[in-house]
Amino acid sequence: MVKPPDDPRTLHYLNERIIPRNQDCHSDKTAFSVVGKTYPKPDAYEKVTGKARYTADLKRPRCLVGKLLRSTHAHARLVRVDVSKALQIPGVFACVSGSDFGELIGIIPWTKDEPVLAKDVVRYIGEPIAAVAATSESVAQQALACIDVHYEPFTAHFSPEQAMVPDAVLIHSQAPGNASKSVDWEFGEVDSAFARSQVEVSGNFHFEATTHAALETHAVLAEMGADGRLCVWSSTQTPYYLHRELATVLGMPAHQIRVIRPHIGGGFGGKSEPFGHEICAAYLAKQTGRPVKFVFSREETFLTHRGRHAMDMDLRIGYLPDEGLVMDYQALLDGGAYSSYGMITTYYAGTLNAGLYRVPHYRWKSQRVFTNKPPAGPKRGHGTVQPRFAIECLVDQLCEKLGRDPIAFRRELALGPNTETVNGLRIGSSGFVTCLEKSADQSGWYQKFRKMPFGHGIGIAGSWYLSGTNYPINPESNPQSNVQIKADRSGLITLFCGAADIGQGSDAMLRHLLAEELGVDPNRCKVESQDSDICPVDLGSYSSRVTLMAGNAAISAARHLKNQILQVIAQDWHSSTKQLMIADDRVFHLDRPEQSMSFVTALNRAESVLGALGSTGSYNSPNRGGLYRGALVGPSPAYSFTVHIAELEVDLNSGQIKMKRIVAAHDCGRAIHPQLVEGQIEGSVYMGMGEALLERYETAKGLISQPNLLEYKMPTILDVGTIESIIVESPDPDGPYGAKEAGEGPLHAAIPAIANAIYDAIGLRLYQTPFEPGQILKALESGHCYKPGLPRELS
Amino acid sequence: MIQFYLNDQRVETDAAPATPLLDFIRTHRDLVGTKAGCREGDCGACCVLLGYLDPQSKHVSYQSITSCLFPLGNVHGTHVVTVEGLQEIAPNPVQTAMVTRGATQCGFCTPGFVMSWMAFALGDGALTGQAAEQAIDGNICRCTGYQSLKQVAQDLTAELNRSLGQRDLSGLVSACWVPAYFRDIPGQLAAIPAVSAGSGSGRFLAGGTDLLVQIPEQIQEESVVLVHRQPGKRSIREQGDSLWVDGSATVTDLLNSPCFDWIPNWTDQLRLISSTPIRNIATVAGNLANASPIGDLSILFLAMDAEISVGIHEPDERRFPLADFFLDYKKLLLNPGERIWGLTIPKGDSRFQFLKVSKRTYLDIASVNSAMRIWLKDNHIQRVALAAGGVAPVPLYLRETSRFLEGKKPDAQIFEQALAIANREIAPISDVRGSAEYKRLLLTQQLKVHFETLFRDEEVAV
Repeated sequence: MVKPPDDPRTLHYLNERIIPRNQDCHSDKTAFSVVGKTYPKPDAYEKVTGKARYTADLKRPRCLVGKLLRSTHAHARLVRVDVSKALQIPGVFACVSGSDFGELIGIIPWTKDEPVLAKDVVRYIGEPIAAVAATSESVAQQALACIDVHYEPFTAHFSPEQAMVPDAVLIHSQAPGNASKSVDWEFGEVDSAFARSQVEVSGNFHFEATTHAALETHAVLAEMGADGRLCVWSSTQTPYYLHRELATVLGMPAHQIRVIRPHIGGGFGGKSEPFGHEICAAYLAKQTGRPVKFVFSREETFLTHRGRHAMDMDLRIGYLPDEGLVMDYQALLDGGAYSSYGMITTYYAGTLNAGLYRVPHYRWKSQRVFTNKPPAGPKRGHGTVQPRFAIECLVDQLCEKLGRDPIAFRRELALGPNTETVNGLRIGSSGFVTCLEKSADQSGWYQKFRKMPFGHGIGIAGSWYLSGTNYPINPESNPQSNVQIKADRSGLITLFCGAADIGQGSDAMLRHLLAEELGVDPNRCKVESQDSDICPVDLGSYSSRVTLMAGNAAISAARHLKNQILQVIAQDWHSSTKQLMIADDRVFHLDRPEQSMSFVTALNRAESVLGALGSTGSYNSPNRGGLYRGALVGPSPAYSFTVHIAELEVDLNSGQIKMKRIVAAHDCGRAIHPQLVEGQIEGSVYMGMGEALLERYETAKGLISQPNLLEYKMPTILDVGTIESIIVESPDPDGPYGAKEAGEGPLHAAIPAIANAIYDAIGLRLYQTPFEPGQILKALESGHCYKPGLPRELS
Repeated sequence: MIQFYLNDQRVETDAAPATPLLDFIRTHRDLVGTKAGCREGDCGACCVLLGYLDPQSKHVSYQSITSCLFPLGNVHGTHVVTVEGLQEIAPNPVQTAMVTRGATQCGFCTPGFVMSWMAFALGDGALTGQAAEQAIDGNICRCTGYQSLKQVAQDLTAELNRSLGQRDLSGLVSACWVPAYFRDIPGQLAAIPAVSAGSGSGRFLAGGTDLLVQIPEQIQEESVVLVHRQPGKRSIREQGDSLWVDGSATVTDLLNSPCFDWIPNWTDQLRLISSTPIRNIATVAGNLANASPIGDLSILFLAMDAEISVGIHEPDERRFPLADFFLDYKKLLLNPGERIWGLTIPKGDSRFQFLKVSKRTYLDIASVNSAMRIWLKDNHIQRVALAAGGVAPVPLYLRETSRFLEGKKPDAQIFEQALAIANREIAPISDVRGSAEYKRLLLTQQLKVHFETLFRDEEVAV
């Protein structure tokens, strides 16, 4: 527990603190020639012509097919895994099981609890037990069928409640009570604040588990070179972490390993940790001397999961007119069989609740529990989507009770720029109030709220999110992002960076920044980001970190390169670099309009004087955050802000929701490439809408009920209605040219905005996702529905 | 020997006829632009074009299909186009619009979208933005939220309306929508000797949309009898005082057939069935043979009061009411070796409506579907056929409710009584599509909608 400062209002909310400059940040530029303009994504033509190669598309000579044998038990002792018969089948080159691997794997260094292949115990149906490499799919299948596995079943736990029963069988021997992680925080004076609160609301909410369902399934290809170097191509968001894990588990020097990230068919968090199948592919390639490729079926991808945690949430909010909100929050997370990112999820779930609004009194208790189901993990908006759903629904109820307009109320409560939350998150820029205003205007809020006929509704919700974390997953003092630039005498500028473009367009973002900073045409700039042999380390595409971190590193490197070139030209022109600038592909002298030179000429001149031209840049995050336990998870260099207004119609005959429109205003600091920002906003809104209305990762006795894209329903083009994105720019001092994230933050608000719109339509409060027609029709038929804001008899 | 054109190449292969076309394209031909996203027809990443030659007009008509489910044997004599078969040198207008609008993010679904829109461009349907959006109803994009794709739909429509004086192949070639080799395809397809469908012995395999999901490996090992649509054959036609719907007719054939013009909003009703690329290959016989209690076409044709023709060699060896066809859960009145040849539907002055409610409005299996047909005479209900799915172990013909309504003068009280009877006739169970209670509620609501829609206000006594 942390003692609050004496007067939180003065210390935390009203003081504009002098923030020490982080020299890795480049937010000082305000006029742009490339930033803010839209160019085609560099990979767009490859993709529309079908030429882009994804891992499953890659071919290597004499490649073997890799396949996994998976557990049919949710919880059992593995008495025997005998692969000897499988090895005798012609065409089978290797077959391995858990005993071949010593090390446990896991993305979080403190919670490595997952075997490459199950050893001694299986903990969920679908858990990999053995891996085979064979000449064809059918031989591999045949081999799997010959592996002799003997199970001795244990009691399996399919819900946190079951797993937490005293004396319940343990899923991990080192986790008493099947507790995976718990967080217990209190800031301010929660109980006394409730005692003096004017109004109080509370509710028990359930957020259903959902999964990423990226269209590309998991795939990996591994090959040992004749030089003894290992090459692994994988569909991963985090090639660097895969690289590290391969070195550790295989006992190979890291410099002997090359990880290539081909085009990635979507990630959304589902490919952001090293997986057993990736290690197996490498191990089998090493063992057989042949390339080995695994391509997962859709069902296997469902089994691999790492999707959004199902969360039970008890939330109580009180309103204190002079102070803000007091919040007492408890959450139970269904973690599945392994830790994955779960430790971080459990912190993230709590950390962002005390922000967005003024919350000087905040209590958080969360418990992640192991269950015998596929492991939950990070999905877009990691850990924070579920708690935000409950908060925004209850804020709507608070407005109702207070008779306040939800926009005016949120504006009054908003925690402004240059503030700090009670749990020590330092907010730089905030465009939240602008988001409220713009979305209200565009949606026609004031003409519609509580004014449309029964069955038609409009609802609002807000949210905020982090742009990377100050404290990286692997606590190391090396930078979180590195880039290298090579300037070629042809005029081509190539930026190398291991940041994983998973389709979101980080290559395009980096190219934009490079061109902007150098003052050149983006078409002469190129980004190489796929190959660990040539790209310096970036930690990967997760936690919305790439734009801010790799972006700042890219500007640094570009600035160094520009200075090298300008120094040579300045000397030639008997001038100082301060008097020179590069713009539109030319070097100009600011005081001598007649003196200019093409960029390529300048580049060649600089090379002739300095030799090979190149530069590097790095980004490391500032040290920020409180001193309590867990204080380092959540602090981010900068936070994004979002407001959604959802408009919909409830079909009174079927209970179906017809989405008409979501207006989403998002403060991304600076829109480096506006079209990509809009794409991220729209895609986030869509994913949130799917979770609100359709998506459900369901298991029955540990077996995933419907592992296909028919039953895991995502909206089609005919279901989504209109999504209107509004870009709000409140440049942050820590962002590259002020930019903050746009890829995750615009998701959260969709769910509560839809819930609040359903309330506006039919007076029904929903506490459980997804909002399925069954429960709505039942409520309609029961006669309890009405139009809020009207006397019931009139509605 | 299966012979067809794959892009600009003639292909001859002895591969198993039930090989999914997708596997042939990707594995045998190394055309990896076509993607495998789900292998169950649910995502559309595998969409390709399938062109059928009409032997009379020498015109090749193209449709989008999910190649993951389409049996290779069915492509004999056709033109299969993958994304590699479009412009090699410069992107075509579909591709350009997708780049310009930022409508490709991860790009994995992109070739499927391109091919679905190529079918839209090459087809003869309405050139409207709405039609362009409907053309991609079988393509899931997980990244964009579809807004940029909606812009592409508008762009394409405008571009097609602008650039094409005449909407024919040579117009599309000169406007660079398709490469020039498309011009030669009709002649080349004509040179491929026809094979007669339905020959051989083994399991009947039509569009593959059920069997390649249910037994994808097994069916490749089996001998199969291919019974998919014969190009150029009129599979839905008037025959005296009835309609003949061939078992090999696809849902798209139904949707486009003028024989159903008497039903208002017919196309909107049929668009609730699956998605465009599936409707292009899924057949009437396949949907009936699947015997799903929730089969959309089973419900639709039960309520049309159709008769089914089954037989080993001939269509009319046995003909009986479709209502007698569904015996029990997945049990049909069908003898070994018999196939479903088609349906006979009585014509006559009547009204019809099909309704479907599912969790996802489009591209989904119904929670409850229902259909009703009424014949009115002298303000009395002369004849009724009412059917509902998802409420019993079989697609249910609501016999008692139908008989009850016959001869009655429609009024609110009669409807109330009919609802009560219908509720006794059904026995829904709780499953993934909804709880039993919900399905009951839903059917009641749907029947109310049927009554409200099919009877005009002035016909209903107050």
